Amino acid sequence: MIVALFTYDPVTRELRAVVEHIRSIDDAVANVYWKAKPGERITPGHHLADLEWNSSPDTRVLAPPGCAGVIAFLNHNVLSVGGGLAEYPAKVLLRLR
Amino acid sequence: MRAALLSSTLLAALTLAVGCQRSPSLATPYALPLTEPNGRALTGRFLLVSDNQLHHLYGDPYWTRTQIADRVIPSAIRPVQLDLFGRDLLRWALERPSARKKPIIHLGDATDIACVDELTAFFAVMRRATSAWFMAPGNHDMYFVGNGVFSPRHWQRACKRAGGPLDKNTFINMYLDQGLGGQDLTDWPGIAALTQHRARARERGRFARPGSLLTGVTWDLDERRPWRSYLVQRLELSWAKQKTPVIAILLDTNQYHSKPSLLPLPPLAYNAGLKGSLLDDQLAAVEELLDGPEEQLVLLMGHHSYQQLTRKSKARIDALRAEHRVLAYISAHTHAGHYHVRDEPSGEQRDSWIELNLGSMIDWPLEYRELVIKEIEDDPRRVTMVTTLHWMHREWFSSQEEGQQCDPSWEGPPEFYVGADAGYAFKSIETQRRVFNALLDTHAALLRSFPTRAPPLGSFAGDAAALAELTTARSRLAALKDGDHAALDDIAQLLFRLDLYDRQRQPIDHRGRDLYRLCQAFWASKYDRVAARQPIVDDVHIVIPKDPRPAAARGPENGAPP
Repeated sequence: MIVALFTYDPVTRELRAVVEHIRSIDDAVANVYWKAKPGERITPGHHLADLEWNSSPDTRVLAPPGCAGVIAFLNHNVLSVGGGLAEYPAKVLLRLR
Repeated sequence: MRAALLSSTLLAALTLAVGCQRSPSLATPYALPLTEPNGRALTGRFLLVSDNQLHHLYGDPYWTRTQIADRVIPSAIRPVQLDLFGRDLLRWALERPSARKKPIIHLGDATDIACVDELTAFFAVMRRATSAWFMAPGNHDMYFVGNGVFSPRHWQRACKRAGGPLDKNTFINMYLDQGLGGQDLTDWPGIAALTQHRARARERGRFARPGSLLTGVTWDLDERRPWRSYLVQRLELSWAKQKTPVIAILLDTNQYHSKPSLLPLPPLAYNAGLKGSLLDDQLAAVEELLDGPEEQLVLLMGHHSYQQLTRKSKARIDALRAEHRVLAYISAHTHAGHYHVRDEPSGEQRDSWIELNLGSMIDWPLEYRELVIKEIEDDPRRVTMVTTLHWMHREWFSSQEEGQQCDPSWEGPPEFYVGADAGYAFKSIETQRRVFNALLDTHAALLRSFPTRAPPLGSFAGDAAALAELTTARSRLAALKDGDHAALDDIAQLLFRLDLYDRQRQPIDHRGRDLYRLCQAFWASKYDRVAARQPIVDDVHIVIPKDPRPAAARGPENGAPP
């Protein structure tokens, strides 16, 4: 079963990690390689980043349904501050204007 | 008075002199960005851990376990709760969701006294790791209380009920056979191949297995002079898909030409706690392991910090840095994690480089790190070394969704948590008596707070039986006469059984019992940091009486004694 690792909140206009789903994967995220840039206009399906895992092939992070607008903020420190994607509170990956 | 004035002046002059030694700035090719540069990872993500110092409590008293020793080396004696429950801190870190599936590099001092069963207990904790783990040896893993080879009778006594002393050759054999060899070999072909190789090579071996995480190990055991033995390992940190290989070399900084001793007489004899060392034969082995393409990036790792290495050993590290693309030296040992910038003249240029020193997992502030090396987009000449810092206490306080709150009623009296001033004496036998008293109280609290559902076979018949023996032991300890070693030995044996019982039994509230153990370790580590039950800078909740005036000023209606 394919699970959504990230969810878009239309109220805060933030893309957040789904901690339980990240934890359910039998691997560790080694790196987030960003494809999108701040100021870029995106629509659902936009290729935002690649998740690089310790053992598995990369996962493409695509903008989920409803995630449309101009990128105000990309969280480049998402793995280096606050315990990473597998820890609560759920980390914000990006915020739209 | 004059003496006091003189010493104050000398102290001020010394402070001024030390204060004037400015640490150099990093040269400009280095950068310290506040935001992680974007780029593909060259390596997987690893965990760096160190200095958990698993301690055996049930030996005979030995002379270094006194208040005097603790005054000289603040971590010579830790609080009882930290020695008893310190392994729970390592276990907790390994079980964090953020630690899952990350290979672990341990930078030494898994054990404390250097007893065989301390290492066995460490291996048991490491079985909870969800990925492969590797270790560079530390001075506490092979030398008596981390110092050297001395007082064999005392070392033997300290390791009573713990399999005897853990000397260097025993450590290397146990690590290769049980530490590496005890891991899930189906997942890690390099370790599996090493295990087969060990069947043919015991005293010395040179093992290489390209295409795996563990790509090389070289060891040489000197039977007559084990301090000359060494163990070096090569880890392939980069993924096969990457064009730029990144490797780590785990050095052995505990290799001495002469027997290390408690009292250092350099250059004839070093104290392994004060000086690290590596010899030419190890350097030759490292050179072989470093064989690779010119663009290969290298991380050197070893237990002692660069500053604590002998002059010749520093020169050996410098020779490796001159020949290879060494990104950094990563060390441990100080229990005070930090970065150190090195900057020395090199001909007409400057030789600027960086050392990451990893803090301890038992002495506050408790820490471990993650490590990943990344490319930098649009900058092919530099890479980023990401070393995500985990301050365990802060993460613990913030992980409240898992119900990890300590019940305030679990906190014992200050002497449970403060090693040096409150609990330890000038005579080792008196230290032992106080330690045992606290241990008996701790086990009583554990059994009463977290009763057993099913006692383990071959142990106490149940909690009531254990508590009955415990009560008798407390009376014996209270009436103990100076020099009654037999009584003290009986109590040590009982405590040894109680410790085993607690680790093997099934409490009704298993999670609560585990949390209790962890809370004790956190409190002990915190209070030991300031040698008192005092708030430290991390404390944000302090309960204060509404009327904190002196009792005499409060009056009887406000709680003053009549």
